[in-house]
Amino acid sequence: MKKLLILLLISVSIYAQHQQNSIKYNCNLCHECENPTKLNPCLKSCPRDEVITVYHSAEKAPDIIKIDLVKSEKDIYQAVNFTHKLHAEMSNMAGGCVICHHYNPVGKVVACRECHENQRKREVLDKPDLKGAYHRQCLMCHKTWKKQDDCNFCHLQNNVKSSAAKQKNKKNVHPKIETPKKILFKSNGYKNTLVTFYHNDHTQTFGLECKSCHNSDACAKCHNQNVVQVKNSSKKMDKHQVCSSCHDVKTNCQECHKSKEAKRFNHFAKTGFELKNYHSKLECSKCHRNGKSYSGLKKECSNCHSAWQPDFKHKKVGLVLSEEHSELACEDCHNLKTMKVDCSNCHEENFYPKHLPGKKVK
Amino acid sequence: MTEEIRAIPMDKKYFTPIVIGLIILAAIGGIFLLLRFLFGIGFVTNLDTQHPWGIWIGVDVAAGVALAAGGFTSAALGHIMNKSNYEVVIRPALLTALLGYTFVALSVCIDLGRYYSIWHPLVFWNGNSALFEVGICVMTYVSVLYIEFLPIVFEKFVGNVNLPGIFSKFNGSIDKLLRVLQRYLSKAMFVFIIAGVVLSCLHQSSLGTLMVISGSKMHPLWQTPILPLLFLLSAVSVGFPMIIMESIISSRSFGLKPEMKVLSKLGKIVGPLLGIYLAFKIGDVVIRKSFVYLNDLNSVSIMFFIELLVGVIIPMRMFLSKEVRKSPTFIFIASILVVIGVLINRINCFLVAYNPPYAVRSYFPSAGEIFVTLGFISLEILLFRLIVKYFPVISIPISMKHKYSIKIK
Amino acid sequence: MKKQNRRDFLKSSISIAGAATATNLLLPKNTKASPENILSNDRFGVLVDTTVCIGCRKCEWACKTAHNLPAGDASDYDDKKVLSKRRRPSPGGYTVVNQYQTNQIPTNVKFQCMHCDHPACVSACIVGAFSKTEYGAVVWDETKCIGCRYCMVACPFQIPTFDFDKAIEPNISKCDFCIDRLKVGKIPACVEICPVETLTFGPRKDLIEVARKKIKNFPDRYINRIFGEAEVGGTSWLYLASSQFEKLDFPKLGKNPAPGVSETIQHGIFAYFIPPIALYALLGGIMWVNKKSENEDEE
Repeated sequence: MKKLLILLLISVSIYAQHQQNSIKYNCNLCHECENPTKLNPCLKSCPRDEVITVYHSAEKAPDIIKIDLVKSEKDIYQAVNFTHKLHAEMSNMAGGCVICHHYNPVGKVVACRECHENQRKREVLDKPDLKGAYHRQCLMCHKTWKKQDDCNFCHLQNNVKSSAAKQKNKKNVHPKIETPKKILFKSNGYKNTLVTFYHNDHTQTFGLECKSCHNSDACAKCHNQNVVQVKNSSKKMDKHQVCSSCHDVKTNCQECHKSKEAKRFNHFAKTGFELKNYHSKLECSKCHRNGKSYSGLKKECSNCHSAWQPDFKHKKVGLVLSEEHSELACEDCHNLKTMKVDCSNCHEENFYPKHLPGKKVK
Repeated sequence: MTEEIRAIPMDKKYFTPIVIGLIILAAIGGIFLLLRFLFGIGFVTNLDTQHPWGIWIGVDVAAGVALAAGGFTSAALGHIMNKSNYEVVIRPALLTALLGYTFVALSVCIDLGRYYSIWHPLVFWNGNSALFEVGICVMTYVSVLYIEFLPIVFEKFVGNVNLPGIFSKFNGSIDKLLRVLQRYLSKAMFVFIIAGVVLSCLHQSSLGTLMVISGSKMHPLWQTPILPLLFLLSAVSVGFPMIIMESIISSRSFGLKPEMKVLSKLGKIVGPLLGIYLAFKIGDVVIRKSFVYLNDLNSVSIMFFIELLVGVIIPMRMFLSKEVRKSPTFIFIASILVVIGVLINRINCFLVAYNPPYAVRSYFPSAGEIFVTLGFISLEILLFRLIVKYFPVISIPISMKHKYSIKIK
Repeated sequence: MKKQNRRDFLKSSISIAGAATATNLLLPKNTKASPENILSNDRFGVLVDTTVCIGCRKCEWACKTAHNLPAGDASDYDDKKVLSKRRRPSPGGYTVVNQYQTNQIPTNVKFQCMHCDHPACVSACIVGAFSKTEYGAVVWDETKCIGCRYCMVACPFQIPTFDFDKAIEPNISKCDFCIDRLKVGKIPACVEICPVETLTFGPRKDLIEVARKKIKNFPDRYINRIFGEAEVGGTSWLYLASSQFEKLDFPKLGKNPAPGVSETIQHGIFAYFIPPIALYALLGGIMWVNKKSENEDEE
């Protein structure tokens, strides 16, 4: 039995070894030269940027992290309570978690201290120590803001009382962001120079999230109060890039570039099809499905609603059908082309909309 | 009745209006000096981190050493070249050098932050330092100068020892001792004379090396590796004009006839010496192409022109002319020009050309610095007059009859 | 003055020659008493990455604290207006941070002694009060200094300062690389406190490699020059910057060690005391010939 076990073990290990040999490693990932030796491994320095592979949403991220690992000979400041979640959320507009978690291969989130030694006197000098790494990471953005590279912006001095400290720690919610209603861009290249951009319509009416447009902004774009005006991405292409996900920026210039200030977009005024209830909540592309063109859709419901789902919940349109109506097929009441309701199929008089077949909800 | 030129004490009235003026100047200098020792260097000078050296070094020391060069040039001429007809100027030149170097040492001392540690270079050596060499050479040379002066002291006291009161019984034995010392010293004197010349050559040049290390902080018009050579050449050139100037002034002061025969002979050497210096100076500026800095007119280029024109070219032309050399007035003016030229050169090298990278203001000497410098010069002149009064330094033609008793009114 | 005769002259000449030979034998040994200038292979350095510095001036505070200078409270250093002044190291603070408007974001530069590999102050000091230690630090010895301030004249970076207002025991003060801390295995106080590790402490040769790598990896961030790698023969403190160093108040310096020319001249004049002795012999010879001809004339 013993012998058998040993034999098994050996065979397994040989197999494992065999397996290992067959795995192809990319030597260049870690070594700089072609033939690394034990004496001269010519290792690459720790790669600074490696795309994060596990994405945790900002909401799931830890809320506040107390940074108290770094100890100095004389500690002037108290440990910093880092509002991680707040920063994570805001980072969505500036490139995401990777702007701080710059190195994270497959697996769990790598902590700073795993690469950055918590020791200033050390052997490997080509990456900053933990204290330096923390500060540099924060200052990468904070440095560009007015006055916010002051130590006191994040730190509390050691001699400050704890009540004041609590006060400071309250600031873990981002104050409400004031968004512009309307921005008037002036372009030089095109004969019609004015582009009116209704910011709130895009965020509210068209349901765009902040990060769907603002995904690689510098923090300083908002946080920089009047010091260094970081140049707006003034290149024609950059600006168009943001709009191009919805608008046709190649051919239909007049759509945005006008000779005078444009009015707010009004679906009813423009097309005669009023967006209300359920439709108002839809993203444009839910209906305007064929590519970039937003024209050509007819007002008839059947354009979209060709095949009804059997489990369609009528509640969605703002009317919960009463029990006796809920069992009916759609076409029993609706004209499938126009969706007009005709009660006369069952009822003698035209009840609708005087008597509703159910209850209105919001 | 044969006539001989002989050095005798100038037994004249000491206090004249000029002497009293000098005493007042020296006293004012003394007051500033007292303040310096009470409240520190910064209290009386305009020195700061950007300008660590001022006129106490640039004028009192650097120019002082250069202008005391008469001591070794005359010694070289009189003793080494063995031209006995220059004997008349050797003693005054020696005394000038002696006093000059004494005051150089004093100036160094007051400029040192830790003046009480002035002996440190004797113990802590740094062979790489030009300043160390200057320091050691000057210390040795001052000693050599005092030894060279000893025969004059012996001359006064031998056969003339007259101690007061109870010490009078030692008169005979001290006289004997002095005679023995005098005999041995005169035999070994050539050792010190040559040593004096060698030491002078060394530290006169090293004084130039001093500023070489300041590198780019010194203006390219002056910053050159041959700075030591230029310093040596200029010191050699200024030696005789200094003797001429000093001889004419003391002749005037004591109502004697200027020794024009000797002075014109000395003046004859000055022209070629200045020529050699000028050739090196201009050659240096041309080879290093630093003349480009003369294109724009500013304080630096103006000072360079003044230094060369007033201090070298004009007096050189004057010394080359026979008429000038014969005239006491003109040879005096020419000599003064050379002296001023060397003075300006040292000021230029140490102060004007010194342009530190982070200077927020330029340096100009304070009243304290100027008065201490003037005070030192005054004191030097006063001491010269005093020593000349009691010791046989200045030579005058006298008849053999009155060899041992002479009084000049 | 009495004229000596020829026999006396010869006799004394011989004794002088003997004495000169003796000094010749003795002196070169003594000149080795010159100050230490150790260039250890493992000497330390600091790499200053000016693109990282935020100008918090904590290094100034730490430096003063480490050197027992009046430092005040750390919060006194929060005032950033000082940065735009062109301050220099002083007896009251051996390091300063100045700010330069170079790009959109200003560059802060910390100044202190560069700790040259071939220091002008070590070469210049009349009593050898300065020395370069095996740690890389250039330090001043209070017990030797005479306060002549030649080090200040010599220093190409204008670093040593002097107590001009002190009548007694004025000091030459400058950054000493925290030599006392280095000796017990600690790192300099400024390096220790720097929040962003603008200052990287380590063996100088490693730091040069680190700096080269940085320049290679971030060519947009740095100009291709490590200040102090070659300047005046190399310095222990090295600087990286995003703009020309001359714009950041660094002096324009060559690659030759600052004391180079001066020492060459000095050693040329004093090569085993041959030139002075040769001059002495030459002058003696001339004197002897002149005496001889004079004596012959007399005979």
